[in-house]
Amino acid sequence: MRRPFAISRALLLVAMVGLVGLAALGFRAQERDVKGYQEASQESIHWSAAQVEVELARFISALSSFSMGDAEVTQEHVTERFDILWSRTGLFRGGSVGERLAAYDEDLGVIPILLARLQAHEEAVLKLDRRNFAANMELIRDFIDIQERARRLSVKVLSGEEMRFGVVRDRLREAGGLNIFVSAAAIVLATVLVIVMLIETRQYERSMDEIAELADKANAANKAKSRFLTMMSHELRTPMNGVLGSIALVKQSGLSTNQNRLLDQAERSASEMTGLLSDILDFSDLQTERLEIDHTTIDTRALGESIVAQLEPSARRRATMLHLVYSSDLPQWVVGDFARIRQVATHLSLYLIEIVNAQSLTLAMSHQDERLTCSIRVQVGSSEGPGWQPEAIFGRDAEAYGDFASDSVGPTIARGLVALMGGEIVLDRIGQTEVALNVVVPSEQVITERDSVRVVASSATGEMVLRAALGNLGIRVWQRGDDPLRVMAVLIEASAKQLDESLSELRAEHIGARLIGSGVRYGSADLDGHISMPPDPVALGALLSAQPEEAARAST
Amino acid sequence: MGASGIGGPGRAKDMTLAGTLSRRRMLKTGSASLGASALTLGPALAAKPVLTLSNPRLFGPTTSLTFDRSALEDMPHRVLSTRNDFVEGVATFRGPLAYDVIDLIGRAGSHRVRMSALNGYYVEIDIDEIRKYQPILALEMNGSRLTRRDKGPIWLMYPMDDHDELQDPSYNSRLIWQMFMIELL
Repeated sequence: MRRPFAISRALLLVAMVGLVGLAALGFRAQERDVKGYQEASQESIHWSAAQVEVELARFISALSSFSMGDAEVTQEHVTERFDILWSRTGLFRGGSVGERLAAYDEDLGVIPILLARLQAHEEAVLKLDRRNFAANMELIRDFIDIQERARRLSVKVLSGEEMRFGVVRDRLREAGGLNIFVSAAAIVLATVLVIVMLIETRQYERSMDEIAELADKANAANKAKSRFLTMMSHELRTPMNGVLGSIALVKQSGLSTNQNRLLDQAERSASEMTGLLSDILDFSDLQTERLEIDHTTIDTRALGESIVAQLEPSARRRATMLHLVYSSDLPQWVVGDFARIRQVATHLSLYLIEIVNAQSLTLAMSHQDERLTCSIRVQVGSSEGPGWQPEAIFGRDAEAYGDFASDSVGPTIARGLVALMGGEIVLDRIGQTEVALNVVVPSEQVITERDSVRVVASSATGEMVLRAALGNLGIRVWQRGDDPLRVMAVLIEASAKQLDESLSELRAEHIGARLIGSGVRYGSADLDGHISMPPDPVALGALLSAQPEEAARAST
Repeated sequence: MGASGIGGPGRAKDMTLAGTLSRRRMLKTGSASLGASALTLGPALAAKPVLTLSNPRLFGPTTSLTFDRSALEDMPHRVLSTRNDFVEGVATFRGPLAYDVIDLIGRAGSHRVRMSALNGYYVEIDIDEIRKYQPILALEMNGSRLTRRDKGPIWLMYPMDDHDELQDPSYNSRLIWQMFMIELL
C-alpha cells in the first residue's frame, strides 16, 4: 500500500537538508565577510612608512640650508627636524602598526641603520656650527646614504599593502559569490517548499473529502439501522400488548391456582419483553439524538415514591429491602423531567437488584446548588456478585452506545439520558460491600409564593360575592396566565355535578392548593374546607391562613 | 592612517604664536573661563612653549594663548588606560582633558577645533565629540614623560577601550601626536 504524502515528505526532507547546508554555507560566507572587513579596516601603514623617507628628506634639507647659511633656518629648527625623524623610528616598535612595519623592514634593515646613525650623530647635531661646513657636509652625506634604502622601504610597504588589500578584495569577492549562491539556492528551496505545501494541501483536501464521504455513508447506514430498530420495536410491541391483554382476560376466566401461577409467569415475561422493547426504542432515540428532555415542575416526593413503586415487584422477587429517604433540604418542587429521572433511577436500581443481587437498596433524594441527586445505595452480599465491580456500569463508552450485553441496556440508557440532561453519575465506594450510585442532574428549585386565591363560580353573582370577600381581606385573586403554583386555595361555588368534574383538574393544575367549597355543601365532594355564602370575612380569613388539617376543622 | 604626517593644507596656514603671556596679561583678556584657569597655569609661562591655543572669533588684542609644559602640568589631570594600534598592550596615559584646555580660551560660538602636529599633519574634530568622549592631551605614557622623539610632547588620546565605536580606524587618525597647536574654527 502506498504511503500517503510520500513524495511530498521526501521533498520536504530534501528541502530541510538543503536549508541546513545553506545555513552552513551562509555562515561561512558571513565569517569570510567579517574577516575581510576586519582586515580592510586595519590601519594603513603605507603612510607611516613614507614618513621615514619624508622626514629624512626634511632633516637633510634643513641641515643643508643651515650649513649654507640660510638665516631662517636655526639650529633649533634643525634639532626639531632631527627629533621628528628620530620619532619616526619609534613607529616600527610596539603596537600592531609597529609589528607590521617591522616585518616589511626585516630584510632591508632601514630602521636599525637609521637609528644607529641618529644615535651616532646626536651630539654633532646638537652642537651644529655653520662655520664647520665640511663636517656638516659629511653629516649630510651619512644621511643621504640612507635615503635610497628608505625609498625602497616605502615602495615595499606600498606594494605589500596593495597585495594585502588585493587578497582582502578576493576574499570579499569570494564571500559575495558564496552569498549570491546561498541566496539563489534559498529561492530554489523556498520554491520547492511552496510546491510541497501545495501538494500536501491538495492531498489533504482529497483525504478530507474521502473521510467526509465515508462519514456520510456510515451515518446513513447508522440511521437506517436505527430506523429499522425503531420500526421493529413498534411492530413487536403491538402484538405483545395483545398477548398481555389476552393473558389478563384469561386470568379472569376462573382458572385453577396452578394455571393462574403459570399465567402470572407468562404475564411477567411479556411485561419484561415490552419493557425491553421500550428500552430499545429509547436507545434508538438516543443514538439518533431524537430524545428531548422536558423542563416542568415536578414533585420530588412523588418522584421518589414513583421510583420505589416501580422497583417493588423486582425487589419482592429478589427479597431486596427498599428504603426511601428524603434529605431535609429537599424542596417539594423542582424543575426537571419526571419521567426521564425516574427512568434513569429505575434502570440503575433494577440492574443492582437483578444483576448484582443487592441485599438492600436505599434511594436517598437531596437537592443542593441547583442540582437534584438521587443516590442509589446498595448493600451487596459477598456470595452474590462476588466478581462484580461497580465500575462495570461505566465500563463502556457512554457516547458510542456500541457493543453491549442485554443486561447492560438499562445502565447504558441511563448514562445516555443523564448526559442528555447535562448531569452525571458518580460512583461512591462506601465499603467492601456497599456502593452508592449518585445520579446528579441540574434542577432548579421552584420557589413560589402562594399569594393568590382562585375563584371558580358557576354564576357571575357568586363570583362577584367571593371576589368582594377576598378584596375586603386584601387577598389577591388569581388571574389566568399567572403561575398556577401561586394559588394557596381555590374558592368554589358550583353545583354538585360541576364540582365532581372539576375537582381533579383543579388539584392537578394547582398542586398543593386547598379546595374550599362555598354555599351549598355537597357531601360527596372531596374538599379541604367549606364556607357559607355570603362568606363571613373572619371565618374566610381563618380558613385561608390555617393549615390544611385545621382548615378542614374550621369549615363552617 | 597614522596620526602625525607631512604637508597638507594645514601646512599652508602658518601659525602666528601670540607670544608668552604673563599671568597678569591673561587675566586682562576678560574671559571668565580664561581668568579662572589662568590661576592654574603658574608663573612659568615664559619657558619653552609647547602648545598654542587660538580662537580668531574672540574680540580684543589677544586671540591666542601659549602654554609651556609646566602650565599644562599644573592643570587637573586625568589618567587613561587603553589600547591602540601604536602601543603594546594596555598603556596608561596622563594629561589634562582636551575639553578643559579648549575651555580656557572660550568657545565664542565655535563648534570645531583644528589640532596640528609639528610635521604639518592636522585633524579637525567637533567640540561635542571632545565633550562626549573626554580625550586627554597626554603628557605622559606609562609614567614616562612624552618627548618629541616619542610622539610628544602632547599626544591626543581617546579612551579607545571604553567605547566600541572608537575601534573604527577613523578614530586612529584622530590620535594626533607631536601636537603643538589647537585652533577653534
